[in-house]
Amino acid sequence: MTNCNNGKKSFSVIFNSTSLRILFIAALIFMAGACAPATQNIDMHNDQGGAVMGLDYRDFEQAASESVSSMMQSGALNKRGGGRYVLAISRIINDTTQRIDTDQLVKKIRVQLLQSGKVIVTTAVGANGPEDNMAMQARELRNSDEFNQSTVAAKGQMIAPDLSLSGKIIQRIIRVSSSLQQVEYYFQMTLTDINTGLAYWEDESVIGKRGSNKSVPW
Amino acid sequence: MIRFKAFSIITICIIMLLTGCTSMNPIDPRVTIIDDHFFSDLSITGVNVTPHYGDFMEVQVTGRNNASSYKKFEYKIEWLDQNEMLIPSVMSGWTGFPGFENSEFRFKAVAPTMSATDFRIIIRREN
Repeated sequence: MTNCNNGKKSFSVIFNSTSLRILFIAALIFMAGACAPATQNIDMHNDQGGAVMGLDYRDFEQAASESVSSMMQSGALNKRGGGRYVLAISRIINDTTQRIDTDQLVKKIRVQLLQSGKVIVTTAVGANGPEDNMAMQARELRNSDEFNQSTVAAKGQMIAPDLSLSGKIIQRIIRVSSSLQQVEYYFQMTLTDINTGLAYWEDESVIGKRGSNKSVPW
Repeated sequence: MIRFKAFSIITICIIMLLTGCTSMNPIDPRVTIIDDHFFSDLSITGVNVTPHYGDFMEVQVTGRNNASSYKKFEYKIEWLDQNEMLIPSVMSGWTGFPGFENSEFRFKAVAPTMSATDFRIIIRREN
C-alpha cells in the first residue's frame, strides 16, 4: 500500500514536471505541423490546381488575353496614316463582391498593347487624375533657380490621348440548388475615340464557375 | 521463327506507344499534339496563316475531335521573331477550346507584335 502511494506520487511528480509539459506541447506542435500541407510554388506555366469560386490570376490572364486578341483582330488599333495611338486609361469599375485591384486586368492589357507597337499609354492623364503625378510636378521646377532651365520640361510637350480604355467587371451569383451555386463574371471593355466620343471597339469576356454554396466568392 | 515474330510485335507495340505520346502534325510541323492516350481523339486537318506584312500575323488551326463524346482541349502558342527568338506575351498561356463529338473545331490566334514571323503551337486535352 505504501509502495502504491509512493508510485502515484512519483508519477504525479513526473507528469507535473515542467520538462514533460514542454515535451508534450512540442509534440503537439510537431504533429500539427506535420499535418499541415507543405507550401509549394505554383507552376504559372502549367497550373493544374483546381478552379476557385473567386477570381484568380488565371481568370485575369484569360480575360486580358481575350480582350487584347479581340482588339488586335478588330483593326481598331490601326491608325490612319500610320504611327501609334496615345491611350489613356479611364475608369475600370469593379462591380463584384470581391476586393479587386482592377490593375490586375488593366496592366496586362496595357503591357500587351504597348508591346504590340500600335499603342502608347499616357500616365499623365487618367479618369482619377494622372497615374504618375511627376510629369506635372516636374514642371513646377520652371520657377526654381536651382535647376538648369534647359533641362526642365518645356511647355506644350505633353501629348494628349487619342483613345480611352474603360470597362467594368460584373459578378452575378445564381443559386442552382440547395448545395450548388453559379458565379458568373463579365469583363466588359470599351475603347473610345476621345475626339469623336465613338466606341471603336467593345468586347465582353465571360467566366463562369459552378461550385458549393459554402464557397464564398470574395 | 515464333520468337522472331513475338519480338517484332513487341517492338512495333513499343514504337507505337512511344509515338502515341507526342505527335508531330503532318499538316504543319509547327503544330504538335501532346496526348498521353494511345489512340488520340484529336487530329489536325489544316493550318491557315495570314500574311503578316504591316500587320499582326494570324493563325487559324482546323482539326477534328474523332471521339464520340465532347472533349475540351487547350492550346498554347509561342510567337517567334525573324531570328526565331521567343516573343514573351500574356497571350501565350494555355487557352481552352471546345471539341464537339465527331466534329471539326477551329481556333484562331493573333500575334502579339508585328515582329512575329513564326509560331509553335502545342495542343493537349484539358485536365
